[in-house]
Amino acid sequence: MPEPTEITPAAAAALARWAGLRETLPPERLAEIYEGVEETIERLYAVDVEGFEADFLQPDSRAR
Amino acid sequence: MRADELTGLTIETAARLVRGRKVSAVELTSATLERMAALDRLKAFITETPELAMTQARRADRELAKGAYRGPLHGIPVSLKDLYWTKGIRTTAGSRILGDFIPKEDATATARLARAGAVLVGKANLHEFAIGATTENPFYGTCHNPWHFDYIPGGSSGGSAAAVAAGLGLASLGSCTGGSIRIPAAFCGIVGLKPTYGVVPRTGIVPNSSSLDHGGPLTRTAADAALVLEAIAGPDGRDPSAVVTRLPRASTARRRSLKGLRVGVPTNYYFDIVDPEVESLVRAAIAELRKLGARIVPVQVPDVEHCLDACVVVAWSECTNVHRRWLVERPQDYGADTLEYLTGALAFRGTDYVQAQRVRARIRHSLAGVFQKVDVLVSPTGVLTASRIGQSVFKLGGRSVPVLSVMARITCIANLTGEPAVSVPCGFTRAGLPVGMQVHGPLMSDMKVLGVAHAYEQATGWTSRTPKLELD
Repeated sequence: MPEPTEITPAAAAALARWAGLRETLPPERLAEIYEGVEETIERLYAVDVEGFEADFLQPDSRAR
Repeated sequence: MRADELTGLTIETAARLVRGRKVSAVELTSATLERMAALDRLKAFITETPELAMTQARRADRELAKGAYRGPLHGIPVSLKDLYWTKGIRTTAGSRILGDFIPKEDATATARLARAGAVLVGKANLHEFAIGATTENPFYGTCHNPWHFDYIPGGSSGGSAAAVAAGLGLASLGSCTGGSIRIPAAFCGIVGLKPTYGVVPRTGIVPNSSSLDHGGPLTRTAADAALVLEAIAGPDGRDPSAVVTRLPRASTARRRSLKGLRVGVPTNYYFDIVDPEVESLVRAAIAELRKLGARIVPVQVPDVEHCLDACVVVAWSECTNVHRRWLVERPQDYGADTLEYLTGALAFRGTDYVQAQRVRARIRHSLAGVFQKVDVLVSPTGVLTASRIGQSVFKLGGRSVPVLSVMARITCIANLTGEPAVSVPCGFTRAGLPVGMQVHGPLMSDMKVLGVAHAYEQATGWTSRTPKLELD
């Protein structure tokens, strides 16, 4: 799993603006939040999902 | 009967008394409303509905006088988490954003409870938009744990759990995206069931995460949960994810023996990070299940270590999709923790969401394999008991962990798989805080997991304990 990159406060603020948010949180806090997001995502991509597709929207086929 | 005896009944007992006209719905409801007024400091409710409740109770009594009996919920006082739509009654979802929202119709579950004769006493407090597990609500007040005022009741259905534990209604409906029924049930010493995904229609429940949201009951006992589930389950023709297959009758959950039942006890993950007192009580409960005839089977449960991450990405992505317009236009109207969760989720990409769903499919496949070997899995519901109000970070396994990750560590597994899971009280810590054991089963085994909980309750009696509360 690659090391998460450091997200600077300025980059975090730019990301928040790109996502449509106004400046609601301090850039330093945004950077912490987005670093946490990146770590979560990197862990998920380390899981082997070959052969698995999202199938959760067929409740009754599961129930039988 | 004295008022505190009335409010301490189970639904089963109250139903017998009401049907036999030994106690009236008006007596039950009046006692409940008086107790709610005397325990307002718990902040279990956002909106109380005394006039509606008395109207419904009088009608229930009139019907009984004419020989018309609707079933075991006839005349029974209940509450709803304040994200179930109630026609003509404010439904805030614990938020400022929906602070003035008055639905034009009832949620399917709301309507079904009313049709079953239940009496609505109020709309219960919750974590804002059900996004969190503490019920420290910045707009409607912090809800308190009836067992210890300085502690949280858990969440997000914290008001529902506090209400039932404190005798403010004999049942409440909660909702669950990652553990929001079972966590507060465990923290407040009551029973909480997350049914199979799709068994209870989500129609009219303010959404959090469409593929993870479940509605379900919080009650004193497992048999009561079965009665409430029976009243609200079944497709409504409006929720596209509703399961068409019907559950067995509630009476099938009243088992006393567990002879021959294969009870799986996980050998990985579930007990890796857990408070020693919690582990000790859950291990003792497992020994009790063995005495009841169950065969205890140690079992490896593959892939569950990925559950929290998958749940976070799926839940927050779906939730943020619902909230995006408000986030952009009214960010100042969110509470601080909700705003941070949703702000983080805006950074998830489409491909991340798909990856999380594929990880989820892998987890579902793994659990289905486990349920070929065992009939149910048992574990702690939460790895900790209720925390002090205001605590946001925990030390576990040598690292700091956010409160939500700690609390949902085990419960989120059944949300991802859609399988039913119930939390049943299994004792108290030295500090007097309740501990819950989770019983988790395969799809559509809702009555079976309740049956295991019922047999355990009958053998141990933890559910008959109630908090000692001074009335104001």
